[in-house]
Amino acid sequence: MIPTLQPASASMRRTLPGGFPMQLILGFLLILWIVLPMAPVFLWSIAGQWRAPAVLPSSYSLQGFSALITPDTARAAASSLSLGFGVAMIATPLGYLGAVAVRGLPAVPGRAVEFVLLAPLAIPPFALVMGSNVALLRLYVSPTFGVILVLVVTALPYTAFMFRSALASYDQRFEEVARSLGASPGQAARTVRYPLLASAAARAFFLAFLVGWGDYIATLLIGGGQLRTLPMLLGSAASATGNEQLTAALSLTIIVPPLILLAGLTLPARVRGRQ
Amino acid sequence: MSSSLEFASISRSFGNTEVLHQVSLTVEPSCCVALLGASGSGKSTLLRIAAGLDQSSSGQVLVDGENVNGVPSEQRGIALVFQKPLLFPHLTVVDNVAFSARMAGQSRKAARQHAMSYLELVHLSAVAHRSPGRLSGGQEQRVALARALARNPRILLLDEPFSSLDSRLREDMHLLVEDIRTELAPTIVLVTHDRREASALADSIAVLDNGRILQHGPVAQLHYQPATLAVNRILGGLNAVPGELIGDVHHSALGRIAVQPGLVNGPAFLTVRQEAIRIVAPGDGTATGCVTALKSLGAHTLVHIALSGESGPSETLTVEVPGDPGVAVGRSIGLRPTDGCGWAVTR
Amino acid sequence: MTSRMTPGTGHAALLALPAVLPIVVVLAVSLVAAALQSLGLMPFIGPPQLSGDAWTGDVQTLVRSGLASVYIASISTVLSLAVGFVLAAYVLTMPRMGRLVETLSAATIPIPHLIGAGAIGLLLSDSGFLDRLLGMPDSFPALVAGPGFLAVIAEYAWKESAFVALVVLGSISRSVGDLCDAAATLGATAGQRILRVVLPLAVPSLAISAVIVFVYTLGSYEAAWLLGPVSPEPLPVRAVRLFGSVDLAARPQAMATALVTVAVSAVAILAVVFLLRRFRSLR
Ligand SMILES: Nc1ncnc2c1ncn2[C@@H]1O[C@H](COP(=O)(O)OP(=O)(O)O)[C@@H](O)[C@H]1O
Ligand SMILES: [Mg+2]
Repeated sequence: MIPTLQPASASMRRTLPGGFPMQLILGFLLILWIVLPMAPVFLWSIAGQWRAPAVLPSSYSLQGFSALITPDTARAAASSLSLGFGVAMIATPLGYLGAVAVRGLPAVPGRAVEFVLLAPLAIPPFALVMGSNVALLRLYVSPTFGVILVLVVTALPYTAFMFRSALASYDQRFEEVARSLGASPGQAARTVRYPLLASAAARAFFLAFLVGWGDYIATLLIGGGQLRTLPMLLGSAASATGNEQLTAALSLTIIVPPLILLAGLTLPARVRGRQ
Repeated sequence: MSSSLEFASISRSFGNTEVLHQVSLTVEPSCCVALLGASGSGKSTLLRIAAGLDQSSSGQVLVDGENVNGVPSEQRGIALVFQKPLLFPHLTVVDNVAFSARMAGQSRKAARQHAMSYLELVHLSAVAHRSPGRLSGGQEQRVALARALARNPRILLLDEPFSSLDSRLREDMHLLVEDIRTELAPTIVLVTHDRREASALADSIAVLDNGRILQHGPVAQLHYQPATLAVNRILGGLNAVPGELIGDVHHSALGRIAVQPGLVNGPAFLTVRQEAIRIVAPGDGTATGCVTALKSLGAHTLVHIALSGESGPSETLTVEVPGDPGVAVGRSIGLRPTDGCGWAVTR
Repeated sequence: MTSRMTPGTGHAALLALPAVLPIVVVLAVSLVAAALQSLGLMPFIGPPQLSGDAWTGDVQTLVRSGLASVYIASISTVLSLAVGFVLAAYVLTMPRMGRLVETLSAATIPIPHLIGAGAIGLLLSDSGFLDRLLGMPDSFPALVAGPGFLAVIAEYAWKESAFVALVVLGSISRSVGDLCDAAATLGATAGQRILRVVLPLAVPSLAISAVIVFVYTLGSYEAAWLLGPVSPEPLPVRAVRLFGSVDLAARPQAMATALVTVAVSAVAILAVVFLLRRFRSLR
């Protein structure tokens, strides 16, 4: 997800045109660009009263969050979590297998498999969902399973790509060295291959989790109201006017778990990178 | 076109570790100085400071006597060939060589024409329009060299540019550097950890160890008159015979040998190169010893000898002889230094 | 010796199956079903009856929707690439601030577009956060639900620039420092290093992210739905509205709209593949 950067060398440091003040201003502009859209969300989530011309809320409260403490929200959170983990747990191993297959196949069939693995990126999810909807209904596939199936297909390009790029820089000879040092094939896989591919697997899992956790359109169209996830709650809150506090609190509730997951996935690698 | 380069008490620290300590070194115009040292001794750091890619913590870099601290590297006119070729993957070979001319604002055509003459110099005009990914290691390094020369640098810095090449390619590159020196006569600092390369290419050698310059002098001086035991070791000297210095004469298991004047009396080591001792019949030498081991170096053989000292623990000495040494382990032999005068160091 | 990492061909084909099969089935089923439905051959209820009405009936609004979507996607893609490249260049060149920028922009990646759209709505709407920061001027333009889809484009540019930066950084951060050092010793100034070294190195990853961003923004529903004007409707909004319509006759039109979106995406992808080929052969 996040490339580990080498520290900028001295000449890189001078590679940005303009002097130090310009660089500082550019940095602030970029940070503003990234942070500004989330500022009103954060403020609204803790606002009590916030009438029009006021730049900051006139009072603060946690009413947005407390309105979220309902069995309905809890059920939606559980649905979202299981959708995220369900998609990730299926799409990650499938992506790995696909990537290994592409590596093992000769050029032409390998390309074909790679093309298929990337194909879902070219089809807008709503088109995928609409087309398959009737077919899923005719085949009596349950809405939940249908959503998972479509989202796994959506997530597969990402997971396969993560493993593809990890395998591209993974040297097969690492395992051969391990074998020549007396490791059995199983030991070589356990002690060499899996650790070396672990970070790619974590990134793939994370991306696939996001596909399920944040999905709106597939759940809306296939789930048909039966599957109520956090984004579904947010969609109905955001399209109505007048409940900014609830919308903002719900937004933060949806963002925080993936961010924690992201920090958990990247921080250990960074600390190791620094050492 | 070539300039002099001087480092004046350059120090550089990364965090708490001092990588360069008060390094001072002068390179005369059109001279080639080899910077010799083990890996990690700070050679690359010194070159990066000269090229303006890194800043020294203190001290100055002077080009033609002018302080260039603070001058950005693109304005220094100092070219650096790195250990890796670092060819731009998005440009063809000829466009890589033409890069500096393009940066200076020349038209693509003029820059390419200029570049072709440098590609001819390194005998690579045939691959001019290839992409750098399709070159061999030796070709890549030659393109990198041509690219640096095409900048018309006042000073050329070479950072172990040949260390990843096999020995034949490396010899080709040495010939190429000699060609370049006769044709363009740039001032060169060549970083290497290979003392043979340093001796073959450079006018003088500077030995860098742990961020300090131990000695800088002509090639022969470094070999036969090392300033310290460390210099002797880094230049491949295998012998340092301990003994006592009395009135410019060194007394040791190797006998009494006159050394350079000016040293104070007391304990001192005699550094005598393994190539500068001959094995003779037991009575004919200045010392005698017993062969303890033979080690073949191919065309040469190293003979390890235990000296039969008059007192104290016996010292070992190594002698390099061409071809078959004609002695066997356990034999008693005589030893005689080939020069009349020896060289002693105190540390 | 064949280890499991480089399986034999037959073995590899078997390994590919669990990933390839669901993709092929879902893609084929949805495209075929969409085509059949758009032609009236797979009605929700009632007997199948071939008809091209969904395609020919309302060509004008379909074209207008298509143009609106292409407009949104093009502008968003250009903005994302520009901002994304600046972000990447900044991260590569500035040691401390760059790390902060990198962390913050990576942190926006997990934010779903639905939330991004909500956030941009709170920021850019009439009397929204930005309006208030500027002191509620009368001249504040109608960004949300106004003409030009400005809020929609802002949302896409915001989210996707972080994605572009990430892709660019991932592909060049390893090599770019040393190559910039080499360029500096060859006389390249700061600006020249950015334009002649960093930018060309980033071109392949920029091209790939351009396709991904274009196709994504072309087919994305949430932001266009929450932040766009009522008319013209971008393709996904029109398709979803027709799909959910109580009028079952709207179904075929929804399918036709979806297929038009797929076709535009395919054209965009082919165009970039073609351009990249040309770009490579030119060198
Ligand atoms: N950017 C840096 N940060 C921290 N330490 C460095 C850096 N560059 C070099 N060093 C340290 O400086 C020492 C000398 O490095 P270098 O000049 O590359 O040695 P050489 O080229 O002689 O092998 C090494 O111990 C290395 O770890
Ligand atoms: Mg080095």
